[in-house]
Amino acid sequence: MTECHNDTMQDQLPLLVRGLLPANEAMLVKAHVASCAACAADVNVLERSARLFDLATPRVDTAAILAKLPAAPGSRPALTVSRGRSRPFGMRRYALAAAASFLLVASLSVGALRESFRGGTPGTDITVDSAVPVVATLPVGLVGGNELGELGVDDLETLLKELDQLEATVAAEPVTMQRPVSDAPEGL
Amino acid sequence: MPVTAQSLPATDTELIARWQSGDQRAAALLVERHATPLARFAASLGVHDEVDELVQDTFVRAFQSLDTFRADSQLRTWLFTICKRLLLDRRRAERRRKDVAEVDERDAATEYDALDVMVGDELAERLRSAVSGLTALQREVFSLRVNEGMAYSDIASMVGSTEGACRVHYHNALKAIKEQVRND
Repeated sequence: MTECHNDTMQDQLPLLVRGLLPANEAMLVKAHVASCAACAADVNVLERSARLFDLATPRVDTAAILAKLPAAPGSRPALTVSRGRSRPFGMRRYALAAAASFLLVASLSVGALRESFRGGTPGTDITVDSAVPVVATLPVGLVGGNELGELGVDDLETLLKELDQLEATVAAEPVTMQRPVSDAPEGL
Repeated sequence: MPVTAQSLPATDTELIARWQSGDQRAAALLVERHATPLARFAASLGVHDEVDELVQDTFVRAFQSLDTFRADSQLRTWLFTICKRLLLDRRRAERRRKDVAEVDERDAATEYDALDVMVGDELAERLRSAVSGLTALQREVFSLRVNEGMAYSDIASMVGSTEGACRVHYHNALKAIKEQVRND
């Protein structure tokens, strides 16, 4: 068998065997192989060798490979940022609002206490009226926070009704609770 | 049917760019595309039982340093290079354990048993014997040329040789195989 001296065609034989040539080039090479015994013999050996290599190649578990790969670089910060920012930022706003409310209430309470100890402003002072002792001990805020002297007739009536309700509440307690200690059964 | 730009499969470079911008599916396409050739290359280097693990390690290593990959070379060639380095590292470690001296790169496939597969006929058996009888370098060049259709210039950069030398290795390998198949 004579050797082939067409190096270009010989170089293309492995590509022909593996189907890696474009269609038009493959046609040219096939035409050459059809007329060249040396190249035809080479193609035969190359095809068998390719088959042998394929037989020796085990199947690869691509799913296992993918499971071990690092995450795509673009996806890592996006995932971290979206998770990291959404909740903590929301929590921070909520916490800030709660803290601000707490501080506001606390400062107002402290201010009010200081003023009451100092004998502060007339508006927050508890007025003791000897004529109406019960009313004077009631929280001022019950009827609006003004001095009793500034209250109108309607306001005073409302205040009295509320006092009546307080008394009614006491009367609604169980009888045993209302009974004087002296009425308790002996032995107690 | 006319071939449009949309119907063409994405190139490796495009898939790498997509993965780098956060598309994990691009990694799946790259793995699907290169896993089997990589396994075949590993087998041709003499790897037998640990092909799956070696291919897996190669992909992990490649994706960890994908930003260093230069698009002017083929991704598959780069993967093969990583695979070969990993294999050489393993072989060195094995030999160090056995107190054997320095390992030469040519020794990468000295213990060649990857083609110890069931062959259906006598001719195939002779072929298997012939391929196994090649030197490690001849077998590597022959395998890269036959299995991947790799250009001699790429093979040369992979095996650390020249284009001309690789061409000679390929033709010598083919000649040796033909002779042995004919003579046996």
